[in-house]
Order: sequence, then structure tokens, then C-alpha cells
Amino acid sequence: MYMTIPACAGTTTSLYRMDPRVKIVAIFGFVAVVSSLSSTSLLAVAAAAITGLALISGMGPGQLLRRIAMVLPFTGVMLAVFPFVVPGDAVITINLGLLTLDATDQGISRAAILSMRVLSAVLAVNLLTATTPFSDLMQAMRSLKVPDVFVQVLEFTVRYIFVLSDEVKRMKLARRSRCFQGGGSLLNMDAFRTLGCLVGVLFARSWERGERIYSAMLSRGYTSSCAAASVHRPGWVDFCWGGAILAVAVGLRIFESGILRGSFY
Amino acid sequence: MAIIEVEDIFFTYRDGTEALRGLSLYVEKGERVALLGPNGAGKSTLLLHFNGINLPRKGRVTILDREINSKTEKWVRSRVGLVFQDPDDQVFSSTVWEDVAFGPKNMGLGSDEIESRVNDALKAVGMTGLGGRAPYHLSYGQKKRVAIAGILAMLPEIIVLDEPMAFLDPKGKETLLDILNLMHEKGQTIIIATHDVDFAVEWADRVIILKDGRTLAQGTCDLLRDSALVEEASLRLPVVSRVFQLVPGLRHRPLPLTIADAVGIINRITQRCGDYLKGDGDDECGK
Repeated sequence: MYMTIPACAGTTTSLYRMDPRVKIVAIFGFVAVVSSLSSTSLLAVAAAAITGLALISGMGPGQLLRRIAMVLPFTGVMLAVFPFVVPGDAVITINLGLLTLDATDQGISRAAILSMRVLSAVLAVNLLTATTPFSDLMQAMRSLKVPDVFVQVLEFTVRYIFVLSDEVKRMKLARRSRCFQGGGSLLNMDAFRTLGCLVGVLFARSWERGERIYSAMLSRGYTSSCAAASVHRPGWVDFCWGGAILAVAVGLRIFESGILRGSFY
Repeated sequence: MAIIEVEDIFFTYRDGTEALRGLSLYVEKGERVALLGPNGAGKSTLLLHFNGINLPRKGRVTILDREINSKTEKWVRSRVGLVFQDPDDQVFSSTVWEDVAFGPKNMGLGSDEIESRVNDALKAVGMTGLGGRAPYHLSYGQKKRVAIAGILAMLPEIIVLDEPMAFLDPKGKETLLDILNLMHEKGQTIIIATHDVDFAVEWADRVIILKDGRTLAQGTCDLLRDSALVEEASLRLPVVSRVFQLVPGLRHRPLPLTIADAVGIINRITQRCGDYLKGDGDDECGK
């Protein structure tokens, strides 16, 4: 499973060795609490904290940036659309002849808050997946009593993505070897027909291959609900780390409500 | 008492293809059995019955005195190891070590036991020290060996391999043969599905010939001397047998099957001819 090699594999940082169940609870707790923050500066602190943790865990900055880049399309759309959708005090007005678009202050700050929340959440979950082998993660979810169906769907989605991309590579090679000229004019019906067929066959072949892989897994005793075999008990180090992660989130939340109520002053 | 007993099984695929039509066979403990037959004879379908992945529509499969059905299918997978034809279908973990440990982990073994089994299995296939490698960076032969190691680590009593020699280079085939001999010495029953008749005669104790979802014949390798049977099975005679059959001067009954047999006969003939030419032998050169 090509992607499931954790980004920090091979390092022996504490986060990598941390009990997966404690990690899941801590990180999901972090995401839940941080997603309720409304102050962009505090959200920035949360994001920075997680980034720091990721860098300590041995994740390279380049890797980190690449993962964050995946969020950009989503947040970019939000930042582009929200200011014009949320009513409030117009800051920028764009005149397009028939249409007048107002970018509101509230819209911009709403977009900023949402983007920061998404960024923090993505960074946190990224930390989780980068420091935990996929199978351990799924096993931990099972032992945290997450419904088995949900876990299985996740497992097989990840596995079959790679089956699919494998097949795509092979089919691309095969059609290039027979001089297929893709691209070109948008009106090239032949090319469209070929590509359409390829997509259909891709699914058929991937499905069959997936079935064979599943049979192979069954042959080696795979059952949908494997007993949590020899999962180590979490130690006090694990709880310390988990507590620390949650403490950051909860601390920021308390600080924020403290500011709001003015009770800190 | 046969270790595997297949009684008159029928199996049809979802798309309606009738793969097995009343197939019966048996395998004795510790035997080396070659399952021969052309493509489409039902070999791969049959193999999947040996570990309960396919359950017959009609008929019975009995392994180690237990009937294989939905209740025993999990048990049988820890006793019968199946090595698939395409190692890419079987080897899917991110490291070699993790993949070989997959089977023992599913069996619920402790981590010490898993560690020792994985190390033994990697040693048996000559892949010690490659535990940390990513399987998708290995050569085809290495991937095959990892797949076999993954099955060996489960310590099955019966090992079934689907066309194991396919696509292997000569060195790879030799290595695989050594692994198989090791298994045989340990007392494991080995079944290989193949259409490589030359390999079957050199290796197997017994052959079972399949055709059109049924057993055409089963017995010792002597079956493969019968040209009519071999033709009916859409196979061919072993190469050495064909040579002896086609050359008038080498007409010999019975036809040799293995290279060793053939070499023995040729040595005897050349000795006699040598004697004759020197004027010592009788007139029976070539007989």
C-alpha cells in the first residue's frame, strides 16, 4: 500500500510510538475544539502548534507544504466566494456593468476563520495519518468501538484507490504503445469514444482485480473483525502527549471565551 | 485416509460459466501432486475450493477429515496455504516484513511468535535481510518468494500453488524447486496447478489431469506416456518422450519421462553401439 507508508516512518519519535487510540482521541478532540474557535489569531496559534508538532515528529517542511497545498482549492474557493455572499459592510465594490458585487468585511473575516479552521483540522489529521501506520489506525478505530462497517469502507477505499491507479497506468501504457493520440481538438469523437471505453473497462478490471486481492486476503485468514491482537496498553507517556495536544486546544478555547467575557481583565 | 477428498463437485461462476462439472479426486498426506490441464480446465477454480474461498454448489470437499463449508472455511485457511498465480494480487503491504506477518497476525499469534515465524519464512525463501524493502520495488521472482513466505509463515499442512513457475527465469525456477523440496522434506503436502508437463514428470509423485471441469485421469506420472490421453487432455508428451517417440532408432518401451531416464537409455544404447562398432557387441544396436 504505497501511500500508507507513514511520512515519518523509520523515525522513532515519540509521536510515532504513541498509542494510536490515544492519538485518535487527542487529535479528533483537538479538531473538535479548535473548530469552535472564532478568533483568527488563536486559530493561527493552534495551526502553528500542530505544525510545530509535525516538524518535531520528523516531517519535512516540504512534505508538510505539499499536504497543505491539497487544502488550497477548497479554501481558495471559500475566500473567493464568501465575501460576496455574506451580507454586511461593503469593503470592496466591483462593478460589472449589470451586476454590482460587494465584498463585505464580515464575509472576509468569515472566510478567513473558516479557512483557518480547515487548515488546523487538516494539519491535525495529517499529523495523525503521518505518524500512524494505516492498519494500526484502522485497528485502533475498531477498538474505540467505531462501527465496523465504517472502518471497512475506509480500509477498502484506500486499498482500491491504488488498484485503480495501477490499472490506469497500465492502460495508458497500452494505448500509447498503439499510437493513440489523446488530446488534440475537443471535438475529436474518436478520442472521446476510446477514453470513454477505457474508463468503463478501468472500473471492470479494477473490480475484478480487487476481488482477486480480497480472495488472497481471505486465504491468509483476514476477517472483517480481527481481534485487536497484542495491541499494547497505553502508557503514561501516551497520555501525557494526548493530554498536551488536548490542553492546547482547550486552553485556546478557554482563553478565547476569557477574552470575550472580559474576565481576564 | 486421504488428506484431501473431493467428491463430485459442481461449481458455476456468477456470470453463468460452469467451471466444475462433477469433479472428483483425492490427495494423500505428504504427496507431491501436479494438477495438469489446459487453460480453462478449471484448475484455478478447483484450487480455490481447497481453502474454502469457493464453496461447491453440489458435492463435497473434505480436508483433514472435515467437510469444507461456511462454518469451516476460516479454519481451513490456517491449514491450507494458497499461493496465487500473480504475486501482485497477494503481496499488498508496504514492507516485505509486514506482508509476511499478515497471515500470522490474522491467526491471532503473539508478537514473539510472529517475529520468529516471519524470520523463518524469509530464511526459507532466501529473503533474509530484505524485510524492510517495499514489495513494489522487488523483481518478479522476489515478489513470488515473498508471496510464498507469507504462506509458509502460517505453517500450513497443505500448500497449494497456482502456476508457480510461470514467468520465472531459470534461476528463479531452480530456487523455487529448492523451496518446494524443503517443504516436502518437512512433510508438507504440496499441490501444484500447472500445464508444464516437463516440470510435472520431474517433480510430482502423482498427477491429476483435468479437462472441462472434470478429472480425466489420475495416477502416477506413467499416465503421461499415453499419447492418446495426453492429446485428449490438450497437453503434450514430455519433451524427452517426444524425442524418443519420433526417432526410429530410439524406439524404446516404455518411453522415458524424465531427463535422467532418457540419459540412462541413451548411455546404454551408445555403449552397445560402441561395442558393435568395435566388433564386440551383437547386432542389436539401437534396441
